[in-house]
Amino acid sequence: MRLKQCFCLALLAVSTPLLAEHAYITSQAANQLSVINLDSDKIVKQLSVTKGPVGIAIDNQRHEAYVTHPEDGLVTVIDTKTFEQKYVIKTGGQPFGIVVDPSAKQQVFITDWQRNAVLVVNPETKLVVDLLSVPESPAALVLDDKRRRLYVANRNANLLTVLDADTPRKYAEIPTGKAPYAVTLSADGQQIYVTAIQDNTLTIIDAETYQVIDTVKTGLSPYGINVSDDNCCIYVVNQGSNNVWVYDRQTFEKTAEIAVGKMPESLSFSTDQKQAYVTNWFSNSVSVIDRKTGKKTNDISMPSGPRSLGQFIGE
Amino acid sequence: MKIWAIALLAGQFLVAPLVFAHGPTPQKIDEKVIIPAPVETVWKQVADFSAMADWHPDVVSEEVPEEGTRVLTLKNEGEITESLDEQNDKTHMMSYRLLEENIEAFPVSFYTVTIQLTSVDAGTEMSWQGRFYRADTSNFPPENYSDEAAVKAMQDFALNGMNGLKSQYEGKSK
Repeated sequence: MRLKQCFCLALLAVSTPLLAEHAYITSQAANQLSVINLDSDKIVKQLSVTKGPVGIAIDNQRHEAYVTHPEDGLVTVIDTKTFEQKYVIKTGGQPFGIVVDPSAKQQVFITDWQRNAVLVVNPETKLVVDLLSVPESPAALVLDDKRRRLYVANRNANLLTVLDADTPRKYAEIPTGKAPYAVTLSADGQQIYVTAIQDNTLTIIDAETYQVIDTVKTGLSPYGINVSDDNCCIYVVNQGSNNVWVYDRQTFEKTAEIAVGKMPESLSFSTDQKQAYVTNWFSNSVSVIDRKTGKKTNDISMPSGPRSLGQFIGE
Repeated sequence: MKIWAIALLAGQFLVAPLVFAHGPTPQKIDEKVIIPAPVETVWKQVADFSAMADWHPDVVSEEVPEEGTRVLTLKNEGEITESLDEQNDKTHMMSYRLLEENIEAFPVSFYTVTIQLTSVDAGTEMSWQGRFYRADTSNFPPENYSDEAAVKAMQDFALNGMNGLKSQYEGKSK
């Protein structure tokens, strides 16, 4: 297992072409979208957007970044080649978490916090084509492309909802901790992870059977969660503890605790998986973590209120 | 306000930012006051989770239904319930959160607060930082439940508390 992982990492490092990679950071209080070049860790573009940008999803195939604006009921679309705004999608409600369907189906899924729904938007026509009912206050969501499932964390219902990604069908409602917020899927597609803000837990769910495998303690108010592509580690961002906890994927034991900025929220990995980037909502910065040393190597200053709910690193 | 809301809903074409329209947007406060007393003295008082009524002028009385939970009765007779998250006697830091909201008494739907004391030449620097949401998290909140109302309530509560402590020690030093 370990050998295999090493091989994968080495292969990745060799075969990845040197394309510029960027982190897209939404600053909700400042109404700004900042683009960080991951080679230099410098902001290369700062864009004024409409009010209160929060969620982000990057579509490398269409060369677009989608930004949710819950306060305005809008989703803005940014061209990732020019970093300019291309258009605005009127969704109504409070669009919050967002994920792009990488399949040939033209779909972008967006949680609507206020209307308790998942909106399906066609990125070509920019129209809301469906509205799927889910329990109260859907926050983050993730797409399981292999199984064609959507997993939605419903904050005020303490549930994870499993929906079909292609037809309006609900498969399961799985109890989580109190106030589930973020959700992610392991790279091998076997497990679903849900953080619960109010009881400081991480729920680990079998993606095949929907059974809860384990519930583990996190730091205070866990927000963001991500699993590295090598499937070795689970990273949880603890907003109340100002740090990131790293868990062993096999044992669910905590293996590291990494201090970041104040009130951190969201975490994404660079494509080569060597770095993790964390938005710090209170201290208005993005922390860069070196995964090998488990240490913070850099803090990048940001406009007020950086959040970037979702996978915020892409082309 | 309602007419505005209807007009804006009807006019979905409007892309321009709406001055008073909001979503679930967290707000923050970051207040500091210098208390003329040694850090250990101030900490002893502040860290007692069951004794806020003794030093906060806006808190009339306090009950502790269970360890780490406190019910504060405010000057307007409304009650809010808070729960302790963390307390560190070495670093003089504590954090707690709102457990049960009461937006009529305090127009905030959820908050977390971190209090940090630091020793300075003039005594103790007390820092009060909060992250919170307005009382009405829909996109068209009435004025009394707006972001501005929430920020003001949080700011006033932090400053009144810290200034209360400050004047208490100023009084003692006289």
